[in-house]
Amino acid sequence: MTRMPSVSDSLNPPAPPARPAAQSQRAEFRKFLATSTCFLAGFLGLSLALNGILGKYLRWIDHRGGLGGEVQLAIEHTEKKRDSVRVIVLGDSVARQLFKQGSEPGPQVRFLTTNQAITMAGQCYLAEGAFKQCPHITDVYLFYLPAAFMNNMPRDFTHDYFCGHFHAAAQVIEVWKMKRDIELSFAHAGRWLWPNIMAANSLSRPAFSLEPGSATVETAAGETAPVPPDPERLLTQLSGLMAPPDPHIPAVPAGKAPVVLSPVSQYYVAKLRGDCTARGIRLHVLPCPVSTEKNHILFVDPNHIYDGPIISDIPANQLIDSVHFKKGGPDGDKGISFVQAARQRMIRLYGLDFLK
Amino acid sequence: MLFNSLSFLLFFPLTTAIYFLLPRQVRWVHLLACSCVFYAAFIPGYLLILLAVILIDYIAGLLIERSSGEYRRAFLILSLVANIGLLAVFKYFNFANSNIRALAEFLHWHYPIKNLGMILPIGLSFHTFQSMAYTIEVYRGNQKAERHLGIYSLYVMFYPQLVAGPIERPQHLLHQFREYHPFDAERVFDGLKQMLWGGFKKVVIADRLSAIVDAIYAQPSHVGGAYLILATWFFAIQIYCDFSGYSDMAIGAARVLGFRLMTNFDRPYASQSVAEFWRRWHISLSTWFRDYLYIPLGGSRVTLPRWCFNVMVVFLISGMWHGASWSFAAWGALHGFYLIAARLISRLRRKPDLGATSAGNAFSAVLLKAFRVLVTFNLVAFAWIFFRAPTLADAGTIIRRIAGRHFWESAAFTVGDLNSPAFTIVTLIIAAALIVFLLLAEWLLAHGDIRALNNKPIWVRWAAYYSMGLLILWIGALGARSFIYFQF
Repeated sequence: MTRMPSVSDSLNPPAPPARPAAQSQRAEFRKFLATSTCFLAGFLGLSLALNGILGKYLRWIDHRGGLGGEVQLAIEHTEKKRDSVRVIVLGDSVARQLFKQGSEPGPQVRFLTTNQAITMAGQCYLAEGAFKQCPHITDVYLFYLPAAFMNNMPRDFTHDYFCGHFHAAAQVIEVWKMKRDIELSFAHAGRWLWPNIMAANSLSRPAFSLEPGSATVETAAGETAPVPPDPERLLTQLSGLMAPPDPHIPAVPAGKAPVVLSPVSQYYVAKLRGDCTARGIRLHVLPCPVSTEKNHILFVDPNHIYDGPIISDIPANQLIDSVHFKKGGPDGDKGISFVQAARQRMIRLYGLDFLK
Repeated sequence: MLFNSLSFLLFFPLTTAIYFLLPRQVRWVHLLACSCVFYAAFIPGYLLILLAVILIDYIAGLLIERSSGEYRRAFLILSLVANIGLLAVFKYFNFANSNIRALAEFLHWHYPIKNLGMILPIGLSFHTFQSMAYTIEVYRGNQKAERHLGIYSLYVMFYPQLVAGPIERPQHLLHQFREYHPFDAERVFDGLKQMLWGGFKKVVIADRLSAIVDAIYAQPSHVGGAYLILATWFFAIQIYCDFSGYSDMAIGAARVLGFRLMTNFDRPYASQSVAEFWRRWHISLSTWFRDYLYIPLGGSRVTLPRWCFNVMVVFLISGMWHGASWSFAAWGALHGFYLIAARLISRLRRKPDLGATSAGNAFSAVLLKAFRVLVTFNLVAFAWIFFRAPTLADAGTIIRRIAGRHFWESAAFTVGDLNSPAFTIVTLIIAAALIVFLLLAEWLLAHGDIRALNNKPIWVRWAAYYSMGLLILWIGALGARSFIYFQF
C-alpha cells in the first residue's frame, strides 16, 4: 500500500532536479530578492488594509473588552480642548479608585487617573496631551503607589497597556533611546505600524488583568512572583548591555523599604518636571495610601520623591488585594465607603480642598 | 532560543545570509557557531553537557570501528551507559530520589539524600538519542565512524533539530554536512513555507488552545466532566500543533539551509488504530524505539506473551523518555495496553470486507473508517489525560469527574465563569474555528496532488500565505510561549 502524501510532503516537496550550471548563484539570489520583496510589499499593503478594517470594527464596538479602557478614555479626554481646566490629576489604579474619571468636582479639574502598567512614560504622555489642549493648567497632581515607581516596563504588562495606547513614532523613538530594549521596541514599532491589528490581537486572547482583585495585581504591587524562563534571553542580554544603569537603592533601617525610581520612572518624572517648569506649572507628586499591615512593608522616602508623607496605616481588611480598596465601607453599602474615607483623609493631609 | 521568538526571527535570516555568503569550506564552522549560540541562548553552562555527549560518542565511534569482538561490544556498552547515565543524572535522579525518600518515610527510615537543584538541560533526551543512534549504527556497521570532530559535533548540534528533533539517523544526516548546498531560491521558499505553516500551527492554534486547556486543567476538581472532555480534546489538538509545528519549523529551517530532515508527523489523528497512530506520530522517536529496542528484544516474531512483554517494555520506556514521573509511565503503559488489547481482540473478530465495490458497501466502509478514526482519537485523547495532568492523582480526579456524577456539573458554570479570561465565548469560537481550519487544511493537502499548493496559480498560493501571516498577526499568541516537547 502506498503511503498517503502528508502536509509536510505538500509543503516540502521532493528536491527539484539539479539546475543547469549556467544558472548562477547570483541569479538565484536576485530571484529570491525580487520575489520576497514583492511578497513582503504585498503583505505590508494587505496588513495595512486589514489594520484599517479592524480600526473601523474597533470603533464600531467602541473598544469594548479592550485592555486598559481607562487609558483610552484618558487619552480621549486629553484630546478635547478645555480652557476651563486648571488642575489635572494623574495616577495609578488606586488613584483611579480615589479620583475616578468623570467624578471631578468641577470643570476646573480633570481626572486622568489610569493605572501603573502604563508606567511613568504613559503618565508623562497623558500630561503632554493635556497641556496641548488645556492651556490654562496651573497644577498637575500625580498620585502613585511607592512600589509603582519601580515599574520599568516589564514585558507582561507593557505591550498591552503602554505600547497599546502610546505608540506615536516619536514615542517609539523616545522609549528606544531611553530604555534600549530591543524586544520592547519591536513590539512598540509593531503597535505603531498595526495599532488596530495588535489591539484586536489583545482583545482576542487572554491577558493580564489589572482590575482590583485580580491575581496579577499582587505582582503589580511589587510582591514576588515566580519568574518564568526568559524566551528572549539573548535579546534581553544584548539590551542589557545598552540599557541605563539600575537605580541606586539608598540604605534604610531594617524592616523598611525605600521609594526607588526605576530608570523609566527616573527619566519620565524628570521629563514631566521639566515640561511643567517650562510651562510654569506646579507638579505635586503624592503617594497613594498603602497598608503596612497587609504587605508587611513600611515605605520610606529618603530621596524626597514625594511632596507629602506616605499614609501607611490602611487596615488590611479594607483592601480587596494588596493595594486596592474594597467596595463599600465598614457598614457595607451604607455610610461612607473606604474609598471616600481615604480620599477625605488625603484631602485633609495634603491640603487638596479643591477636590472636595 | 525558541523558533517562535523575536530572537529567532532576527537570528535566522542574519545567520542564513552569512551562511550562503561564506565559502563552502568554512560553512560548517559557521553552522556550529550558530548552533552554540542557539543552544546557549537557553542556559550557556549546558553547552558543556552537550560537549561531553559529543566527545563520548565521537571517541566511542572511532574505538568501535577500530575494534572487533568483545571489545567492540564493550565500547558500545560504555557509550550507551555514558549517555543513559547523563540522562539518569539530569532527568531521573530527582524522580528516583523522591520515590526512595517517600518509601523511606513510609518505613520510618532516615534518608538524608536531597534532590539536585538543577534544571533539565533542554532537549537532552533528543540529542542523547540521536548520539546513541550514531554509535549503534557504527557498531552495526551501517555507518562509518566520523573522523572530523567538527562535522560530528554538527550532527549532534545542528540547531534546527537540536532541542526537539526530529531525531535523525547518521546515515541520513551526517553526510549532508559534507555536501555543498548552493543557494536555490525555490528550495529556500519551500523551506520558508514550511516554517510559516509550522509557525501558524504553533502560534495560532496550539497557543490559543493552550490558554483554554490550562484554565480548565488548573482546577480539575472544580470542573465538570464535560468541560474536562472538551479540554482533553483540545489538548490532543494542542500538543499535535505544538510539536508538529516545531517539527515543521525545524524541517523548514534545515531546508532553507539545504538540509533534508526526516518527516516527523503524518496526520496521526487520521489513524484507524493506535498502532497506526504510532506509525504517524513522532515518527523519528517511534522508529528509534522500533530499531534500537523493539526489534532487538525480538519484535513481533516471538510468542504472544513475549510480544506483550516487548510492547510493554517499549511503551513504558517511551513514556519515561517523555518525563520522569509516574503519570508519563502510566501514559506509556496505557498505549502498550491499547496495542496488546487490539491484537488480542483482532484474533477473536472477523475482519470486515472493505474491498467491496457496491455503493452501499462503500458507504459502510467510509462509516466504519470514520468510526475507527473517532475511536482511535478518543483512545489517544484519553491517554493524553495522563500526559497533561500534573500528577497521577490529578489524572485520577479528572477521570473520576468524567466518568462520575460530576459530568454535568459544568451546567453550574457558564462560559467565562472559570475566573479565567481564557475561557470566553470568543476564545471558544476562535478555537473551534481553528480546529476546523486545521482539519480542512490537512485533509485538502493530503488528498490533493503531492505538490498541491505549489502547483496552484500564484494568487492562490500567495493568498494562502498572506492569510496565514495575517492570522498570526491578528490572533496569534505573540509572546514566544515555549514548546511542550522542550521539557523532554
